[in-house]
Amino acid sequence: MIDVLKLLRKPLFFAFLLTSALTLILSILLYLNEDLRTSTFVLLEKTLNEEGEEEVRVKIEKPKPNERQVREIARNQERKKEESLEEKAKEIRDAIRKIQETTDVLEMELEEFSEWNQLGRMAKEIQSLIDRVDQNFQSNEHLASLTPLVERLATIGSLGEQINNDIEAFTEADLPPGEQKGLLDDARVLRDKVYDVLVKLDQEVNRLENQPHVTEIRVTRDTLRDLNDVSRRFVNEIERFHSEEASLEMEALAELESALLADLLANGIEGFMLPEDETIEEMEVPELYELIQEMTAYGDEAFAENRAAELAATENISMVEAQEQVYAPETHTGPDLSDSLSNNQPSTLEQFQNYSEALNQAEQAAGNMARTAQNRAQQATGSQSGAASEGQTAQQLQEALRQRAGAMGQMNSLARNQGRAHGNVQDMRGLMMQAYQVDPQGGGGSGEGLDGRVLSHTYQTDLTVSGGTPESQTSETARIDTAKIMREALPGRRLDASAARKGWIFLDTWYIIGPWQRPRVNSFETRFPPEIEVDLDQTYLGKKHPNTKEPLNLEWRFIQTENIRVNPPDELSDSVYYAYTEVFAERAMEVVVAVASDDMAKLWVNDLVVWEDEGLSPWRLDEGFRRILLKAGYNKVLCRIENGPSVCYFSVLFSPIEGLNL
Amino acid sequence: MSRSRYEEDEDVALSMSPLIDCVFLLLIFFLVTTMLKQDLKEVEHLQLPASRSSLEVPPDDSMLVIAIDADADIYLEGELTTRSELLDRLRQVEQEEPDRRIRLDTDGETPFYRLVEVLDALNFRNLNNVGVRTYHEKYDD
Repeated sequence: MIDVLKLLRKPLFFAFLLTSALTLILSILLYLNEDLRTSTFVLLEKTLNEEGEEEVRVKIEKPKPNERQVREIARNQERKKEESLEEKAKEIRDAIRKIQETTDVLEMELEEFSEWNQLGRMAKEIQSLIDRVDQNFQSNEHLASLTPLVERLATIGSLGEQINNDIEAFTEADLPPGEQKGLLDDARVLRDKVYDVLVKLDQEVNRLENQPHVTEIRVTRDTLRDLNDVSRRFVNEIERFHSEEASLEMEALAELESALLADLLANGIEGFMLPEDETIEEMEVPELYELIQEMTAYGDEAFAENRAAELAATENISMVEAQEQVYAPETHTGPDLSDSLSNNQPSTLEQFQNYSEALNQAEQAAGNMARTAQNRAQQATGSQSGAASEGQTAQQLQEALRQRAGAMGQMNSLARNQGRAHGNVQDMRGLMMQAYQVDPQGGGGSGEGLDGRVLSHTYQTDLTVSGGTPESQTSETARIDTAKIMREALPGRRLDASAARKGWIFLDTWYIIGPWQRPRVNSFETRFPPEIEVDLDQTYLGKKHPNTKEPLNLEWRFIQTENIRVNPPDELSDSVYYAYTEVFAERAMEVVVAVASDDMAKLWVNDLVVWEDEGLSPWRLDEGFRRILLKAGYNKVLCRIENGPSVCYFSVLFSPIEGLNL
Repeated sequence: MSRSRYEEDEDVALSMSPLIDCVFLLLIFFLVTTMLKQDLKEVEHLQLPASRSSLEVPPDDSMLVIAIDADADIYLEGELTTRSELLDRLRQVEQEEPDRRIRLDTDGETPFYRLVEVLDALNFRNLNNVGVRTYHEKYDD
C-alpha cells in the first residue's frame, strides 16, 4: 500500500495513470456512441486502381444521423428553400403584372384607333352637325317657314340618333349581321336625305341671292355641305366594314376567341388570379413550386399577348392578324416534383437525400423561370434593366409606350432598303431616342452601371429629333472603299473610347440558329420564335432536311469567325436563320451600322428594327447605312438572314459616327 | 518544522515528461477534431486534363467555379446550369465584383467549342481573373 502511495508521488507514474484513465474514458465513450466512433477513426480501404494495382486509401465515414436528426436537417433545409421559392414566386408575379400592364396600355391604344371606334367618332360628328343645322333652322324665321325641309330635318335628326344608339349599343365583335344591315340602311337614308335638303337649300340660296338675310342661310348651307360630306364618308366606311372581308375578320376573331376560351377552360387557367404576398407566404414548398409552374404557364400567354399587341400597334394591323403571326413561347416549367417534395418527413438518409435533391431541383427550376419572366418584363417595357420603368405612373407608362410604338412604326419604314440606292444613309437616331424614351438633351436611358462606374447616357453629337446633324453627317448617300474596309476592319463587340480611332468594327461572335423554311412570299411577315424571344437554351423544329425529309432539330450554335462575312452553319437553300449577339458601348453612342447580306436580312438593335433588305441580292458591303443610337452598356443585336437559291453570307459592321465621314 | 520532501533531493531538475504528455494530448485532440474539407464546388465526374506546368494555389472559397464536362454541359458552383443562366450570372459578377477570381474546370474530353464559348463570354464581360484547373502528379497524388 505504501509502495503504491510512493509510486503515486512519482510524476511519471501519475501521468501514466492519468493517460490510461483518459484513454479508458474515451474508449467507453466510443463504445457507447456510434456517431462519435464513426467520425473519430479513419478506415483504411483497399481498392484496385485502373492499372489493377492494389491501393490503400483512407476512407472517411461521416456520422450517420438518426431519424430525429434527419428530420431536423430536412426541416431546416425546407425552410431555406421555402424562402427562396417565395421570393421567386413574387418575382414571377411582379413580372407578369408588368407585362399585363404594358399589354393593357397597348390594347387601349389599339382600341382607340379601331375601325369601330372610328365609325363611332364619325357618327358623333354627324349628330353634332345635325344639331347645328337644326338650331339654325329654329333661329331663322325664313328657314323655319320651309316646312318640307324642316320635316326632312326631323327625320335626319331621328336617323342620326338611331345610328349613334346602335353604335354605342354594340361592340365590333358582337354586332349581329342583321343590325349591320340596318345600320347601313339607316346611314344610306340619312345620306340621301341630307343631300336632298342640301340641294333644296342651295336652290333657296340662289333664289334669295340679294336678300339681306341670305348670309345666315348660306352658313346653314355650308354646315349642310359638311354634313353631306361626313355622311357620305360614313356610308363608305360602313359599306367597307360590312364587306365580306370585314365579316371574315369578325368570324376569325370569334373563332379565335372561342378557341382561346376552350383552351383556357381545358387548362384550368380561366379565372387564374395572381396571388398576393400573404397567399404566397402561407404556402408550403410543394404548393409554391406548383404555383410557380402555373404562373409561368400563365406568363407565357400574357407575354404572347403582349408581343401581339406590340406588333399590332407598330405594324398597324389588327390584333387577330398579330396573334396569328406571333409564336407562342413556352417556358420549360421544370420537372414534376410533386411526389418528391411531398415527402418532407424523411426517416432514412436515402429518403433525405432524395428530398434534398428535389428541393435543389425545385429551386433551380424556379430560378430559371423567374429569370425568364424578368427578361420578358424588360422586353415588354422596352427597358434593358427594367429600372427605367420603375416608379412610373400609369400615365407616364402609357405615354412612354405610345411614344415607343409610334417610333417603332416609323422605324419600320425607314429601315427598309428596298428601292433605295447603294450607299444610302438613313438617320434613325431621333426615332431611336423616342423609342428609348431618352431626353434628346441627355439623361434617361437604361444601360447598366458596371462596378460602380457611371456610364454616360448622354449622346455627344448635336442632335435634334428631326435628325438635323452637322454638314459632314447629313449626306444622303455615302461611298466607302470596300477593299480597304475588308482589309482593315477589326473584329470585336466592344465600343470604347478608342473605337472612333479604330474605324469599322465587324461583329465576329454570334449565336446562330436555323434553318427554318423560307416563305415564298412576304417572308418577313412570317415571324419565327427568335423574333418573339431569344432564349439560348431553347430548341425548335426547323425545316425538313432535303435528304431525310425529317424536320431538323435546331439549337443556338456559338460561332466565332475572323472573316467579315459570316456563313451560317448547316447552310441550306430557301432557309431562314437568326443570329444573336450583344455589343458593349462604353457610353451612350451614336454609330453607323452597315448590314450586308446574301440574300435578305433584317436587323434589330435593342428590339428596334434598323435594317430590312428584301430581294435576292448578292452581298455588298455598301448596301446601305443606318445612323443609330446605342445605349451605354450592353445592346442586343438580332439579325434575320434569308437564303435564296445558293450561298448565304451576312456581315454587320459598326463604327462610331465621329470616326467616319459619311 | 517539517520540510518538503523535494527539498531533500539534491538533484533538482525540471521534468519534461508532463510537458510531453500534454503535447501528445494536444496532438491527439487536433487529430480527432480536424475534419477534411471537401471542395463543394467540384464536379466529381470531371477527369481534369494533365499538365506539367501548373502551380499549386491555395483554395479560395470566394472563387467562382465554372466547369464544363465531356458532354459540353456547363456547371456553375458545382450545379448544372444553362447558357442563359451562366451569361446572366457573369453579367451580375461584372457589375458587382469584376475582379473576382474565376476557376475553370474542364474535362480532358471537353469539346473545344464550348471552352471557347465560355472563355469568350468571360472576356466579353471583362472578367480576366480566370484560371484553369488541371491535374498535376506533383500536387494531386
